[in-house]
Amino acid sequence: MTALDRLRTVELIALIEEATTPLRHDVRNRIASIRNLSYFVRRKLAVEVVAERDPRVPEFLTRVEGEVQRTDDLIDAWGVSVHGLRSSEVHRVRAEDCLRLAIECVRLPVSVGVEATSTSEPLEIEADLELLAVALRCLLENAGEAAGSGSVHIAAVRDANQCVFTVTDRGPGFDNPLRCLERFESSKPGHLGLGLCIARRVASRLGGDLTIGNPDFGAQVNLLVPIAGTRPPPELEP
Amino acid sequence: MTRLLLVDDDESNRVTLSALLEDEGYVVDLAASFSEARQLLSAEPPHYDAVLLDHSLGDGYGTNLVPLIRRTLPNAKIIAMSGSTGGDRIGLVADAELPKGMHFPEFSSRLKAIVE
Repeated sequence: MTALDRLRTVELIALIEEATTPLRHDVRNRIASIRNLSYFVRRKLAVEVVAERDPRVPEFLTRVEGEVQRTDDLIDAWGVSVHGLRSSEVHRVRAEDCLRLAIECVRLPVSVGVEATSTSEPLEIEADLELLAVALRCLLENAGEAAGSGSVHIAAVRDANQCVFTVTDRGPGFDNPLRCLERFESSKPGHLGLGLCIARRVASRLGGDLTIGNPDFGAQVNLLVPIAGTRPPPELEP
Repeated sequence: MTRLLLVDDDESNRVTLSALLEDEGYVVDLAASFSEARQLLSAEPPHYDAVLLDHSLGDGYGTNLVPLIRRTLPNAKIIAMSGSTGGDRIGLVADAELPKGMHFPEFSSRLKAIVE
């Protein structure tokens, strides 16, 4: 399997996760609510005579709780299936290597090139190299499409305890910077509008963040990841 | 008497969880949004022993309330109510984490261990 194939798999998993996360979150909320309602009713029933008058009441309550549990299990099983495709492994890696892999596998129009700069100081971060490369590739491809021609720029520099990957382009900039991090928000035809969201989730998972810059011209996106050893180990996917 | 602030934008979760907690003897105040919680916490808040904090609050993120809670209620425990979606950072900055979908007896037992 080539690096491009591996990144395609990682990207597909990230895409599925990003597209289904709001639904899973909302369903989990409903499950929590039904479970608590059911528990409340059951506790009250314990001191009422209604159960003696009609034994189906506690029986049906048990059924409700069973259905809730099955729904919860289905969501868990879905998560296990998706993450079972590839386990996420966090290691100490060099920022430069993540950057290089992203550039090697980036899919840009032929009229667009990538200029990369990184500091001479080796920057080490704790990350899943391929997952971070996917995040950076999303940023590069967004920038490349916006630019249309010429080149996009990516840099990795240290800022205090953070490694900051900055992607800039000289395209038209974001239509609406306030909404550009919302899922399914894209001004480009045929795009899902999930690239920035995927990059933000990856950054967040590694204890970092994604910010939108405000350059005089074009667009700028910063992906921040803590320098290795400056924060507790990142959380792995369940 | 243990006093809690429950911050959750989901009305059904607020109503049911607060009812169950009140039955357990807690005094529970509610905030239905990021802005409501911020307003409540900014103006000399009551002495809360713990703040139960949801991550996604519609008009903001629970994570961003943490510095304000630390400043105004330095002794209050911050308990993140996670939605098991992965990627939520609130668990990293809170004192404890309780999954939202957890069965209430276990939720209650773990909450008791945290606040008492």
